[in-house]
Amino acid sequence: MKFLMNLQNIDRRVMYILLVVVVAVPLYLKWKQPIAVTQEVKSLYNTVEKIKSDRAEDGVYKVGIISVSWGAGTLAENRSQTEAVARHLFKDGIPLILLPWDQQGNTIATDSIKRIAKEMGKKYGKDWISTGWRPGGQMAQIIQSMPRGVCDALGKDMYGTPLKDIPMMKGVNDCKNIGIVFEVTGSGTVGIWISFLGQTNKVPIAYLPTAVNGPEGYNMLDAGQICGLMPGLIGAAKYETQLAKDNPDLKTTDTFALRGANALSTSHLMIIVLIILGNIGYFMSQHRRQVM
Amino acid sequence: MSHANWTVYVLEGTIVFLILYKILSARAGKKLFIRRIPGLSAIDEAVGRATEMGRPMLYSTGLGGLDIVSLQSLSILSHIIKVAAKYRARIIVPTADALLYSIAEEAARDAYEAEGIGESFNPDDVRYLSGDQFAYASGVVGILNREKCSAAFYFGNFFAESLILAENGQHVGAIQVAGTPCITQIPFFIASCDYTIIGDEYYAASAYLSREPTLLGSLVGQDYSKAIIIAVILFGIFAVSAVAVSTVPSLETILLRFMGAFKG
Amino acid sequence: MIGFTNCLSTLFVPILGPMEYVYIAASIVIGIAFLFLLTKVPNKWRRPIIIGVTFVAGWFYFIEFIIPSSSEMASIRKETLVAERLVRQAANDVSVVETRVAAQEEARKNKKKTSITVSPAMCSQRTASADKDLSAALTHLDKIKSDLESAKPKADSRIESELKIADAFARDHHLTKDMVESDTYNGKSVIVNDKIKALMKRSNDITSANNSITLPFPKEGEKWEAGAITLINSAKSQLGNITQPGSNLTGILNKAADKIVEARTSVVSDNFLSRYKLPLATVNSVVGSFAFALGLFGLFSIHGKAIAKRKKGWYNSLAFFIAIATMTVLGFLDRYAAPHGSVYADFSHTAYRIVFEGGLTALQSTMFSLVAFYIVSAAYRAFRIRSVDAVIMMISAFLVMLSVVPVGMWMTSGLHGNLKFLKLENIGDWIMTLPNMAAQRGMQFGISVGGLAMALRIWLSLERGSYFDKQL
Repeated sequence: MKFLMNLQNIDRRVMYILLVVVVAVPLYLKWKQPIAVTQEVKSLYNTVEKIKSDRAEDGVYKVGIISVSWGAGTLAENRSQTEAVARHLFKDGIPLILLPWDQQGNTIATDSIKRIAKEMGKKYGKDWISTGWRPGGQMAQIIQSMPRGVCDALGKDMYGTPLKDIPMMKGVNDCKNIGIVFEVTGSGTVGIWISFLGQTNKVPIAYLPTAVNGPEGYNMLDAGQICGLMPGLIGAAKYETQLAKDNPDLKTTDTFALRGANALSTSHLMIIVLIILGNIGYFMSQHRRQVM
Repeated sequence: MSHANWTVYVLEGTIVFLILYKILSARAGKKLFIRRIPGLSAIDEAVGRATEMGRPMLYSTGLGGLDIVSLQSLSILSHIIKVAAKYRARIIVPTADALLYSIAEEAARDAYEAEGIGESFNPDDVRYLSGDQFAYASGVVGILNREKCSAAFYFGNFFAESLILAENGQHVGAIQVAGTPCITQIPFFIASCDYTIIGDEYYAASAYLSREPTLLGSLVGQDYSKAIIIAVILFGIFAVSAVAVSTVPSLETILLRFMGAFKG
Repeated sequence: MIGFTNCLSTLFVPILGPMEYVYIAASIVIGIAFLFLLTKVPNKWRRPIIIGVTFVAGWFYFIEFIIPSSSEMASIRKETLVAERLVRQAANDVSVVETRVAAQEEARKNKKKTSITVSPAMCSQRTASADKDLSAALTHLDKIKSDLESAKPKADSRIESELKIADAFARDHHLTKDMVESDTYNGKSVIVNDKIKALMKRSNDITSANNSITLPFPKEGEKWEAGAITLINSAKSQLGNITQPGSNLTGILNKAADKIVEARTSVVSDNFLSRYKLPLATVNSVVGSFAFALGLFGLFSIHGKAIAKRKKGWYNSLAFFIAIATMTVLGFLDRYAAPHGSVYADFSHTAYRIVFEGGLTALQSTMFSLVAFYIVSAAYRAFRIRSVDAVIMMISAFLVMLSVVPVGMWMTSGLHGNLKFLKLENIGDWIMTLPNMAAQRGMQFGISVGGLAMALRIWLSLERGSYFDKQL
């Protein structure tokens, strides 16, 4: 009886150690679980696919912008999201502009894209470019300037070459040439894209937040302010699952997002078990109080 | 939308008119009622507890810069500092924005001077920590643990660091009151804090704490504005449904015009 | 007014060479002197000054927002709005018939009886209404076309005169051709404020385009209105066939409406105040930088005192000074000091990466990962079944938690057919997109109105508290 009652007071250090185990172990196991691709991720995936089909139909040259509004803190989630969409853009031959607003995010995301570009045989200047770090404080002004000329608004790339002189950017003039903007973020910056580019210029904005901020995205998705949502690591895993399903030759079967999804499964189960145990303890102590 | 259109003129104009009208009528002496908000009532209790225990309190303004959310936070801070100054209780205010830091320092100094004990104000208690999310969080956590704070208040813009702050406050045994307009962080504060102010209660805080007629009037004006928004939503639901089932083209034209007015 | 604007523009003239440093030093001295003077202003004047500045700044943003585009494009935007509405109305009329026809066809295929009827009277009424709307839309689109044609020469002559002023300015201020080279984006349709742009170019500022008055004429071969007109004409010619199964005129008309929206969004809607938004934002950044210095000074003071007085934990304060010095020195070395390709460059870059990736990145990730631990302890403590509400909350939490992870999806992967809606991912999706969203929106409306009221009170100095301890 006393043991059951004590279940409502499990030492938090015990819970922390358990969490380390249930998160770390699945990361090293090759354990495949089914991942269902939900609507919010699917609509994001379809928007990227639509750029390809529109290009075939209308012949309008379109690029994808990955806006990096995250730092080392949210790396575990945001890096996987960045990599998932970069793979898709490269696979569809859509030129990619990396636009980092965070100094740490700049270094990390650029390294990631370089690695994926190498894996997929893509070249800097032809298939992708990075603008280098842009101060986050100027985000609103820079985005507001884009409709008047994307190259002007973004200035130079990370090596100091004016964007206008880069082969990939020839033909990119105004917002019509932006096929999609992925806002990968750990905070609330998506509103700036929506206000100054999404709503005013009808550029599709995709929201890729950390799982913690994910729920607020459903509002925007329903209101048509964003074209898709990829919440957290599990969102990245769903996206990669869809990508792998449509492109079996693509190397997306053993990514961090997919392994992380297993860790998420075990950790969520652990939380549920702990809550149940806590309630058993609570129920027993209430029962005893009533008996006494 | 870069510039206002007629829908904005009408809707925003009506809201502004209602708020100003209610402010003026409240200042003319009309009595207004405001319901009890437990989280805000708990502030005085928390300050009293801190005084009894002889341990400092902590007030975090969150990660926001100098915006409306932070200015409201400063308004609440001003009230808390005045209560704290009355009891000679110490309050530490870490900020994440340099502009906000200078204004918070002045607000704190003003509050002490208002209580006639300006000389007791310690400028080191209002601190700029870092503009970086987790550097700021670790700084606040450090203060909470080192100073063994007896009460912690979180009012402002918070993101993923909210739970880190609130759980640490919980571990040091502080009585905690939080309020934020960042909807996704409210569940974390509810789980870890003693009292949480939800949604637009955040903007009712200064009216509730000061009972100033201007602020109470503004609050009533806000309620009327929300009633108008609800009416627009209900009419929108009706319009969409009616267009879907209608067989009368002229009615559809009117309803489609109404719906079109709300497009950017 | 023009003299004042020129005066302002002169302040933005790029200064090259050693004079640049003199100007920087002078700016700092003037800034400090200004701050010093501000502290000497008597209290009774200081407050009115703050209130006045707040009011004027508020007016600027308010007027900038409410005044519509002052360019020739304002009327064109309006025309596109009307044309879009008419096309959408026509699409609605067409869809009423098409949906019914499709439903009848579906019932016929499945050999089911249906109560849906498509009366010829209704069809002809809808077709006539759609035809009328489409004709009106075409009239508006033609008007846009002729407006564009007539506005072009006027805009070109404005560009010419602006460029002459810019040339004279460049000559007077010894700017090189490269610095004032006019932007030829969209042919001759951009008027660039070269004086400011010259500075922007020099300082690599990426927001130069914000200082231009843009008249978005379609580029050669990209006549947006032509796309819409073609689609509408094709739809008009097919109106007689909407009772045929498989007709998709609604889709065509919606696409035409989208083309018109595309046209409207390419019209830049600046008014005469918009061009000052960027300089004001820059002023804000400069004030912010000064404030950052104040914040840093405060930190130095707190930690300096802690070390000097050997307060408890003074070594933490020492760590602060060491960290700030290390990052500053290594950051500068990596960026400026070492010549590229040299041994020093390799060293400084490696050192910077070690501190940045090995130190800062790891510390940041560690802090964020703490959230996971705290979520466990907070959830364990908070989810106690104390009431019916708590039970509902806990059940929803379990469902959502399981719905987002593979193991949850696996649990209900066996459900098919009519029971598909019971799959955990579908239940989770329902909770997130309906009850959760409704609650969030309710709160969001309240928060937005609250924010608006707060802004109004501050703007009109009706707010009592923080830095306004006396209301007007």
